[in-house]
Amino acid sequence: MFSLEIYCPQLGMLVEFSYCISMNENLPCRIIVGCWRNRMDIIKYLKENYTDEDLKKIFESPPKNRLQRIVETIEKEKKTEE
Amino acid sequence: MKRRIDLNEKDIPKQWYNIQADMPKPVPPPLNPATGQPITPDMLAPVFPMNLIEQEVSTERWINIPDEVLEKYLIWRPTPLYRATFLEKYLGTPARIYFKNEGVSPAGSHKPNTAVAQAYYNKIFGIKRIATETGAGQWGSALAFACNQFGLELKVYMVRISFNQKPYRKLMMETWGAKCVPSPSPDTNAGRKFLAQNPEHPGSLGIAISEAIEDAVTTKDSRYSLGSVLNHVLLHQTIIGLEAQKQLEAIGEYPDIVIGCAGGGSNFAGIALPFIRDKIHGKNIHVIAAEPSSCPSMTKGTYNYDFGDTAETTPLLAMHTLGHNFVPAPIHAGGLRYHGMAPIVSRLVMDKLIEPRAYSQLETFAAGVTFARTEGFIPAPETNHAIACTIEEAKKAKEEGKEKVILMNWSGHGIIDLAAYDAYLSGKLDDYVLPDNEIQGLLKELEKYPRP
Repeated sequence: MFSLEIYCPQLGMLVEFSYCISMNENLPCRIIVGCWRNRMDIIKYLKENYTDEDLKKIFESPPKNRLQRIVETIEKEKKTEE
Repeated sequence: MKRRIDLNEKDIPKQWYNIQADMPKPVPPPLNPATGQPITPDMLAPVFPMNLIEQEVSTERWINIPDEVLEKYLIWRPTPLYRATFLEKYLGTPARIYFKNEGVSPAGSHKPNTAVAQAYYNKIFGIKRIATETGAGQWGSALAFACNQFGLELKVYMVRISFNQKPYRKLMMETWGAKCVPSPSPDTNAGRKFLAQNPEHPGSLGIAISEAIEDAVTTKDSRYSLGSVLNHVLLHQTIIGLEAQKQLEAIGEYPDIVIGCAGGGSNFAGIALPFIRDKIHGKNIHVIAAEPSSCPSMTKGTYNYDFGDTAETTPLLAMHTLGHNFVPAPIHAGGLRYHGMAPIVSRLVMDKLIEPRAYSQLETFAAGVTFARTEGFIPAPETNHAIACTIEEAKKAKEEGKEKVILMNWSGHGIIDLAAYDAYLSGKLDDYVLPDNEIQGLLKELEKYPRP
């Protein structure tokens, strides 16, 4: 029987498909294709359910590494304090 | 033949190994995404104590392990090295398989190796409190143990979906005195923003990271702590490989193959870096990083690489296997990209000192079950990637009729991850491409979920 659960390599736990399509500010996770491609036609699903703009938002910009993310958050906090 | 090789407490390594002293090509400095300029140590000062920042950028080959850290390490270290004789017998392989059992730590994984060190360095820098994030709780529980040992306060932002579904890690953290809250939380600006959008927001690792950093930056005497990816984290983990070298030497063995699983790269680096040092200096040794095929950050094979960051430190993946025409352009550009790998590991992959391999979810769980049914220990799901690779190599040795020595890092136990085994054993994780009519049913089912 097909299940909507999958082991999430980022979180290290089982998650449902509903999580994979909503965790990214209500958009799909950027690695959803890799996780679900063997289990359903995820490309077709994304094409049919999201606009090009959505897809760009999810996939287009290169992901930031952890240090970049840390520095970005520090800078944001500095601006907030100012 | 010895099945269990122990190291005496007095022989525990007294220094960590810093591969930055020996890398053929240095890791380029990470760039500030806002300015394109290298990130400097002072920019990190609001989140890390300076003694750890110094380790982050150090090129000193050997760094002394403080006595206070060694004292804590001795709670569970040196960890045993086992010869996996039952697995060897089951596979009928001439290979001799050794595994380093990092699952014996109080938190059940390799993570306390750096958690203890980081807690110590924060403590002596005058920090009173640490904030961090955790996904399923492995890092959070390791740091909770470490902070407790050094009398530091700890606040852990745990991704809400995990907080709700995995109570045991949360309870471990609380038992060690940490405060664990679901993320997004009402305690930070970042958390409040997401809760305003959706009070039931399931959270994500990204949100939890933002919350923890904001907390550390805005709370007096606080800093942030991270359990993977960064150079100083990998440095602290090298105690695994350094111990293994001594244990193997004691029985007259040296590995032909060293294997670790690689998510963020820390446990892999822990076992592998001391051996990569030998490889750089001429030893004939094969080092393999096993990663999930679902979010590969290193694997070549059928995939093409590109480099998404300007520093070109991290190989990124273009998903040509899914078909150029088949995939909408935005997805094609980055749909399989994952950027979570440690820059040191990425650099060593590019320098061909590490071979990356990807394994599917199913084959890793199958390997984990085989291991549990032969060697007895139930591995963490991440560890299963290393086991899948070890089994593959042991079978290859059988085909070739070679008595290879394989060393694997058994990075943690899976006793708190049994739900994942349940899903595997009940067939819920099977790879199965749905026929069209079933897809339609599935999509209908999904209509109940929130849409943007």
